[in-house]
Amino acid sequence: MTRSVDIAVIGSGFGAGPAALRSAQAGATVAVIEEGQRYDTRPGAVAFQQTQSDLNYLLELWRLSLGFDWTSSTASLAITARGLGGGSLIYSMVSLRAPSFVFDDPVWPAEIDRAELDPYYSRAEEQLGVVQVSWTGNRPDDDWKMASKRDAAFAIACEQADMSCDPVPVAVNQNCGNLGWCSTGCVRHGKSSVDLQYLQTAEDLGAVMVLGTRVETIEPAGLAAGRRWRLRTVRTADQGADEILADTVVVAGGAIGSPVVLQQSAGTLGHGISPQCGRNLSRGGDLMIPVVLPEDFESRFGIEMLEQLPGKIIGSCSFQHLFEPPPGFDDSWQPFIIQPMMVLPLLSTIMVADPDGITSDGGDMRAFGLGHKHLMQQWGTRLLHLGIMGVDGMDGTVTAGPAGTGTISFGLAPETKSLFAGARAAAAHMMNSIGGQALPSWDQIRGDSFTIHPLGTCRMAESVDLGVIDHLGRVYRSDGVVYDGLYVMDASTYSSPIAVNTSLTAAAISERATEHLLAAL
Amino acid sequence: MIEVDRRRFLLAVLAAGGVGAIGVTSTTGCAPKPTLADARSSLIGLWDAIVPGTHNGVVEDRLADGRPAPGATDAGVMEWMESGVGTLPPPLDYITDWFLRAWAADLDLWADTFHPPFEGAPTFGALPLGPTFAERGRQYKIMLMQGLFDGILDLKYFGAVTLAKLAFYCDFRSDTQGTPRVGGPYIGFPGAVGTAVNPNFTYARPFGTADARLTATPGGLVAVP
Repeated sequence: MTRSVDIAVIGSGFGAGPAALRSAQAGATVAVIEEGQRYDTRPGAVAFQQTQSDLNYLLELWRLSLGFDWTSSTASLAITARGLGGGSLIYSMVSLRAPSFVFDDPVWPAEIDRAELDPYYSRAEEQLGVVQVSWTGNRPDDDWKMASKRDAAFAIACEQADMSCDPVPVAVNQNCGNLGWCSTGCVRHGKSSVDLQYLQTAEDLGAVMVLGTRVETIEPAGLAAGRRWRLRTVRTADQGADEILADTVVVAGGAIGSPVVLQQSAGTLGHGISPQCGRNLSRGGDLMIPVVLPEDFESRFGIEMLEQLPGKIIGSCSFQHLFEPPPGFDDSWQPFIIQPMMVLPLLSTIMVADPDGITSDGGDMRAFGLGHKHLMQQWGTRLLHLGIMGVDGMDGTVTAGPAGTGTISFGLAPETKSLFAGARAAAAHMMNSIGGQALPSWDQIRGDSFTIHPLGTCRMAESVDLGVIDHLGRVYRSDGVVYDGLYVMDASTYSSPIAVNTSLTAAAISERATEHLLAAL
Repeated sequence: MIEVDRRRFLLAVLAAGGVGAIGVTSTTGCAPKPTLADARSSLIGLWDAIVPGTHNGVVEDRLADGRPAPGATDAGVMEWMESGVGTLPPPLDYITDWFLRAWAADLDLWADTFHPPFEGAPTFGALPLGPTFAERGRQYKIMLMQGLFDGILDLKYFGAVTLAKLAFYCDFRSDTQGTPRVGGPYIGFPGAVGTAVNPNFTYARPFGTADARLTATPGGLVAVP
């Protein structure tokens, strides 16, 4: 089957939503091509399951991109999402504008800075329905936008360490029941996701959602086809299409998916692509540091019961170390934020280990087993996971693997090492201030690298030598000229890490690029 | 007691090719069986230990008459495993084939032989485990093999998730048998919570110290300048 549209959008996440909706609002015919299935409220949608007992469900919803280094016996892992709505199906809803200083990185094109993006941030915030989390409200009417007890415990720990802590803006609506299962998809649709906030409206305006379809290559369609581009696709489900013709193609498959599509198309586009495609993969500074609050935490701070799981996945943040270095570091530190995260219980139990190792009765606390069982008995609800995001060294790569997958590999650049060291120093300082304990993180236990906020693999830059696209999202040919009608709009376009959650900036950059795209039609 | 560096062990097996199986056999006394059919019952037990059967969140053990509970057969476990062996690229296909055969050949011997990474500790088979873990041929071998072989067969991550799932199954088993549970209750794991609004998640009073360096968007949202 062949489908012909004005604008084809590859992917359906934060970059794709604005491109699809604004194009449809402008009267263009639009097709959104998504490999996964539909989880929204429309007919044919699959229901979210708030359970961990069905592994197949999670593996369908989560896309795991892997790489394994046989020399060091370590792995690189990126967790993204598959389904209409992309990463918004499993994101934490935290919607922060990128700090101004990140745009000082010289790789960003001169046209892009915070002031330039601010109007587009506002547009994205309005469309996504972002609200400000608060500590208080009129219960129960305001419960859906209030911070959790997990956030309260984190704020207390920050205060004791002379660190600031603020509630964050999140994209939720009144359906939020504070169940705390946001990363497995919200069964109440209380999470304001791209499928609900952007794509349903686009669909009402005539946009077509092509599900169960993966784009293999992009190539010139030729004059006889009547369109500029031809997308070769493969079906991943029965309802897929075989070929899509479009005048304009927006690649918005995320920082793992987009470079794979472009790399696979390097030989078919006609004029090559930048050698930077797939390089500069940043983990967004992602690091998870488990910490254990002291045993007397409840009695000292008037916390009668620490219920960690209920509540939004993240409701607060310490921005302290965006502005000043952590203890023991000078002014050249790598900036980062700290957020207390709800981690799925199944992951929480296997992500922790005791650095002291062996119990007196023979249990090994460094691995899963009897010792681990003792640990969980000992720590109980005092276990917290601190999510770090910051400016790392963009030391990873993505290469196209079999069946459209991306194989990733992270290095450990000096900037990344410094970032992680600073974050651990801050976590240790926080725990020392209250008599708690900072535990080793997964990368320390196993030597692995992971990210849930990949970015930078199709970064924008002033020239093809430095980046893959220009400031409007147009893809560079290998000779430095841009392709007509071929764009990238997602977190892969960031020229540097942004030190905060990535979703809102992806939407804002897409809002801006789409505005220019439509003006040029 | 034998200590194994898993990376060196794996690389040695890879480098030695077919000889690897012999080398491992001489190390462990574990003789691979010639066909997967011979290992069928052990593999069913293995899968039954990992994967909840009919998607009801509860792993069934063997039935009273000794037959495997419905979980393994209903899920088509053996067919999945056997079909998977031949589809992985080399050298993983060989390792996988060997791995499954060796595993099935003598699960208990693995557990009774190894307890890395330190000398002097009891083997997994000798640990004072609760009934769920201590049942021979079952969960503790999975933990053992996870520790030895992470990295191949995607066990490191797919397996880690599976393993955690196993932990919560063990919770269930421990709970029903009156032994201490593993993880869930101690981190506030509420089980499947359904869709009802949670009425008790906040203290509804201010906490912490706000950062005066932050600004606000025109819409009143917290923003970094």
